[in-house]
Amino acid sequence: MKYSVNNYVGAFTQTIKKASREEAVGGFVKLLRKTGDIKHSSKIIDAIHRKLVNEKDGKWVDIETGREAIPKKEVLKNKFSKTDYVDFKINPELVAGVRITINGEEELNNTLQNKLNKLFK
Amino acid sequence: MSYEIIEKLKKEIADYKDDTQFEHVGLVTEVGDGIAKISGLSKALSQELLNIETKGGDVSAIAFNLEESFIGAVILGDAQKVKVGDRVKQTGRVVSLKAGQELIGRVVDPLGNPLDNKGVIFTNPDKAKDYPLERPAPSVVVRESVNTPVHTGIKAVDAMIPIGRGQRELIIGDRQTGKTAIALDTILNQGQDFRETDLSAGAPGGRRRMVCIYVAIGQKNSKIAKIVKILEEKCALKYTVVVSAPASAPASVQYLAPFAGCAIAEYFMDQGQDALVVYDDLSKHADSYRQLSLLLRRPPGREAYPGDIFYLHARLLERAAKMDKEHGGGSITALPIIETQLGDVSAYVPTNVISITDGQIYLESDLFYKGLRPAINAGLSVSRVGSSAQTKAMKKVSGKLRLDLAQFRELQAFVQFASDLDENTKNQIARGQRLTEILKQVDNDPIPFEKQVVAIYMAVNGYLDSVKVEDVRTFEKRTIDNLDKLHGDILKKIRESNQLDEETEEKLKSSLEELRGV
Repeated sequence: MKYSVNNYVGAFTQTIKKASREEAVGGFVKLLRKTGDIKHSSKIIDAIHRKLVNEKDGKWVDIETGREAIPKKEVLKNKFSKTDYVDFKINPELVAGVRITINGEEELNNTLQNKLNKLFK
Repeated sequence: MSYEIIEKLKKEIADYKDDTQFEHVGLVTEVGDGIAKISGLSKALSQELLNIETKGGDVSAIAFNLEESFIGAVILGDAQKVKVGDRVKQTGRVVSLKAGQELIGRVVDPLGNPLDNKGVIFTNPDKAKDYPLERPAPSVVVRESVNTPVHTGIKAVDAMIPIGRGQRELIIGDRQTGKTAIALDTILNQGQDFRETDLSAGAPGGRRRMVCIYVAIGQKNSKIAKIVKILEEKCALKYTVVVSAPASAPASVQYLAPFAGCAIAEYFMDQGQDALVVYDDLSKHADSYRQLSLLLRRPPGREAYPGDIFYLHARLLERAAKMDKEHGGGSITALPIIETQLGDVSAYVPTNVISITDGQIYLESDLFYKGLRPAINAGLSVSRVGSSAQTKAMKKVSGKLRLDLAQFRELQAFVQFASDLDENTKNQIARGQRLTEILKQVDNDPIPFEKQVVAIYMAVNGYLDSVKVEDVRTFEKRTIDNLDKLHGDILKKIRESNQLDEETEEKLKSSLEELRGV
């Protein structure tokens, strides 16, 4: 990458405060094409998304479940504030239960995989 | 049988208590060359032990670089198992190993795992204590000055470059000059001098038997195996621990090895015992640290070493100490080894370690190839604190030895014009040649200090003047053997009192006169 992800994130989040959303996004895509970092766009967009959530004092919440848990999605989502971004993923490795990660740093692991690991360690 | 297993499993499951709590986690974002870049874990501590949860099991790592948005960690286990996306957890601990008396006689890796196929180290885990690999050096107030000698069993060292317990004496020289041999002789001599089976028991002359720790850093596995074999054959493994981080081990393991050796030595020091640590060698240790630092993208400095290479060795060697009686009276003596390139002592790492240590034993290739072994350059070798620990008997005989050798070195250039020289100069040259000859020694055969005293006494007092230079060593061996058999009380007296008083000297003189005729 020509510039680090953090540099792109900083540049975009500062531009979006001054310019219109369309202008900022258009200019940013052009910049990524120019620097050749368009192939890393998913990584950069994810980082921008996280930064924007944090700037609004929100938390980035990853909720992973072992199986499809659609009926409980809303219940879980309502546990967090409106500024928080809640992302649901299905991870069969967890077998059952739920793993919640906040800002990629703090984790509450209540999965069967974790319990089995602890039991047989 | 299956009923029992099921019942056991049922009990395990029934006893399982789950207390799910929030934990700090991170994710591996990059991995390669034994280094992992981890996002998250913003509360990780420097040097903290991390646990990477891989599909093939948990792998340990150390947090090295704490940056704004990621951590640079050094992987300690199998780096091949670690993949991008693996979760990383903090342990809240720094790297440590289990230390205890049962480590003696074992070959371990820098994390304390056995490498010698002799089974588990600690049969009673309660007796083992956790010792962190990194620990601050003892403060000034708990130390006392060096006052007890470490006898190496090498005449040239014990007489001219004496080492004391708690000292740091560097062994420096090119490859194949006998650096390891000096360290190995020192280890072997500890068993020869002190024969008590109980490690804590006082040995003759107020010296306790030392526990030796040999740390092999970046050495060939064959060399380490050879050293272990020698130690085993000479019964030195009974009081020695070998920490092995061979050339095949990852740089992170080689980097930890001297700190592990020091942690083991600290355990023995804290028990009030005397420990001797050999770091073989710190040049390779500096190389492994340079590798880690460059991979972690730390800015390179002189010779591409990182800026804190001096601190790395200073903090390691500062942990060598002689504790005062209120703090157990134990000690750690450090013998770091540095390999020079073509005798260049002004390179970066050699100058650093020379300035950190309390003296150096300088070995020269030229002397080695001339047959002067150990190839110690007496002019450039120095011991800054050891003389205060030298025994009175050795001090008495070695004072004259140093003077005579210094005069000989000045006159050496004139040896080829010997026929034109006056009688006095000729005598000085002849004496110097015999002194040089008597300081020669073979590998793995350290000489007890009382025998060294007698050998040097003979040389400086003219008992060898009538012996041909080539016969000096045979004469010395024969005389000392006869003295041991016929007048063993003299050697015993020197050994027990550490002195060569007038009465003993008179007895020694008459016995030597008597033996000259044998």
